[in-house]
Amino acid sequence: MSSIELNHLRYRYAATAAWAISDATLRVDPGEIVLLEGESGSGKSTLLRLLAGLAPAFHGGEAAGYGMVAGVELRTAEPAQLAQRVGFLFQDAETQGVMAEPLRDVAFSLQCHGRTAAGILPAARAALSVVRAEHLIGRRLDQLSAGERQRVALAAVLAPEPAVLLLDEPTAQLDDDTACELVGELRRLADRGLTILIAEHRHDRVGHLTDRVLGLQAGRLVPGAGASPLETLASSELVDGPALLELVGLTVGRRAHPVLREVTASLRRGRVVALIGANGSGKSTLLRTLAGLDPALAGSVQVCGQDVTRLAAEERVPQLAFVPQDPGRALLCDTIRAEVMLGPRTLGLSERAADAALVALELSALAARNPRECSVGERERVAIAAAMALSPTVLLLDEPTRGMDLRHRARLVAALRRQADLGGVAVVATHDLSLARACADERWLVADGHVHCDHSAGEAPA
Amino acid sequence: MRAPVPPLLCATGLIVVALATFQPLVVAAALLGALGLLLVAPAPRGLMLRLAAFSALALVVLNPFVAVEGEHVLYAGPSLWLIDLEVTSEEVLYGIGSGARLATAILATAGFLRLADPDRTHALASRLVPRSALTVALAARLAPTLQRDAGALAETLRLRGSGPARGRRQLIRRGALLIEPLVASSLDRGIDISEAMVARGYGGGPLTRLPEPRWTSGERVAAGAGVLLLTVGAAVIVGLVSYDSYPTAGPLLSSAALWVASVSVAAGAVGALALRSRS
Repeated sequence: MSSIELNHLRYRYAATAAWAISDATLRVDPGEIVLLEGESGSGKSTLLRLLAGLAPAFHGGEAAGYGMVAGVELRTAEPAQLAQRVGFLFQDAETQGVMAEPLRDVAFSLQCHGRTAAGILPAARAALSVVRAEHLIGRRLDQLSAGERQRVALAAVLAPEPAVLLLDEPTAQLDDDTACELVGELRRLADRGLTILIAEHRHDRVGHLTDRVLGLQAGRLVPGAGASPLETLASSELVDGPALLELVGLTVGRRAHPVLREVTASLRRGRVVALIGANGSGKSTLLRTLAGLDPALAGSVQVCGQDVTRLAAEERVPQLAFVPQDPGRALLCDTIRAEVMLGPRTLGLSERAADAALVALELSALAARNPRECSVGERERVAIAAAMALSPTVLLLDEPTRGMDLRHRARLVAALRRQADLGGVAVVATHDLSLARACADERWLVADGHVHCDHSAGEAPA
Repeated sequence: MRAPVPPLLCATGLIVVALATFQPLVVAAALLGALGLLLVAPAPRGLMLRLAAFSALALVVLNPFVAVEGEHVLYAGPSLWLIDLEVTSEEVLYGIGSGARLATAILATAGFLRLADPDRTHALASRLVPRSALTVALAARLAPTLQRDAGALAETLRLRGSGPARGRRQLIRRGALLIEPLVASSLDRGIDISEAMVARGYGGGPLTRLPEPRWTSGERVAAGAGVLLLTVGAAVIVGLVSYDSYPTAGPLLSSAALWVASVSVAAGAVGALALRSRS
């Protein structure tokens, strides 16, 4: 008997005529791992929600056709009933947490599954150890980094040992080591009979362990195209001149708990830097301090020779622009065009750069849409375009490829290279080493409370 | 983070004492206890301190102009529609008492929320009111999430080049710009969280109860202090301390009031210190 069986399954959101999922027919056997590919906004998350029984229950709309998951027919099942057999990892790990502390949060899944009280905490600890998150026990969930939260969310899904696992971009926020271990663990679980359906843009991370690759095109399931690498673009020739970004003895973090100490580094024009390091190593804290959102504990930040350490974030704009992690949650305007134009209009700048950013990131056709109705990857691009619209000299991006398909990652690489070619610099904190290889001239490794700069190569470590 | 019952008892006790009488000494004692409870709680505390101060001040300022009571006139002005411009010392004193009671309630509640382990509070609520557990869990998750969302929206505005608002008009315009995305994101968040809970199996059957850790000695002492405060509050309610604000304010000092105030301050301090000692 198949674990997942779909026959002409269709779904459309409320008040839309087009089917978001149209005519999906699929059989997945127990123990199979299927990778679901597709461009941002192609319907991958929608299909997973449909299989978990969350659509139309939570999103309205209309479903038709036949679907059966883990022996439960979708048409008649309640979402909570399905959840007893189907584990679902959301794309946004932040929304997945229910309790305030990681161990309690993972235990919550087991409590909901009616496990005996004595076995709950040991099982929750075991699940956290699978995703290398045991050290997070006792900390507050809302104080963890995005990658750490994703590990906890994964543990919470794995703990009840579901029959079918639906994972929406499970490795997007994970560092390479954790992602590699997770994928290995998923393979072991599949070998024991667990069925896994993964929606993931990072084919390089999960592709080799999957049994089948499927693609989603305009809501239709088609055979997957497989992996193709990001094209590496040539470095800029503008590498001389004074440093545009200079950090001198910079210490960042909280006063009682500095995360990085005495960071000294400089960046000349025409350079793109990949800031790499494990989850929770301090990459985001460093970028937030450079942007002026968090205060520096010691040392100084200089942009174009000017000491900006004591300037507020809004005073560093437009010379320096920053896109924080998960920017799609904090978009302000009700159309993509208005969102991208907001910065230039506020500062009285030319709107030409904004138009160019819309084109560069393939947002022109979506410009009239409300960004809140867009997919995670599309919202990420909107936030990047809004930063590029300011024509900054220094562009800081924190994990910019979340939810972004290969084509749009390539567009981002081109945009970053263009930033460098125009005489600016870009610093990109990322776990996406293929992106780092494709666009970075230097890599700065964040580890053990320090930043180790390697000015020599764009070749990131494997 | 502490077991929820001891700080709940302390906070409730202080609120009951403050609301049971207008006797200034007793209300001041409860206010001191509530302040202590918040000060031993983990940061941030600034917002709640400011909220309590602002609310109390508003009552102090407004009361003389909406009440028509008291015999000792401090200032007599013309009488306007709904506004009484005759200010009496009793009205001022009553306003101060009302402000202090409101501040006590705000500070004690904030202290409880900052001290109690939210997960154990959720578990307690699930046991006491199982049918409202979802509401409690949603509220517990939504409040900090919305706070973070609001912070992220304000940061986005700064990253687009908007500095601090200068002048009332700019402040209103800035606020209006943030209200719509904040309301939209809060609605999205509510759906997200309830969806996440259901996806994790919530509502599919009864929840297994996790064994709760035993109370520490500090938590037991704080619970004792809370029970004492509740007892004092009950004694005040049944008439141990009587006080009239109008038409003339009662005496500030009486032996019963002094006794109740001393016990309240002592119990509040012991409760707060006992809860702090565990951290």
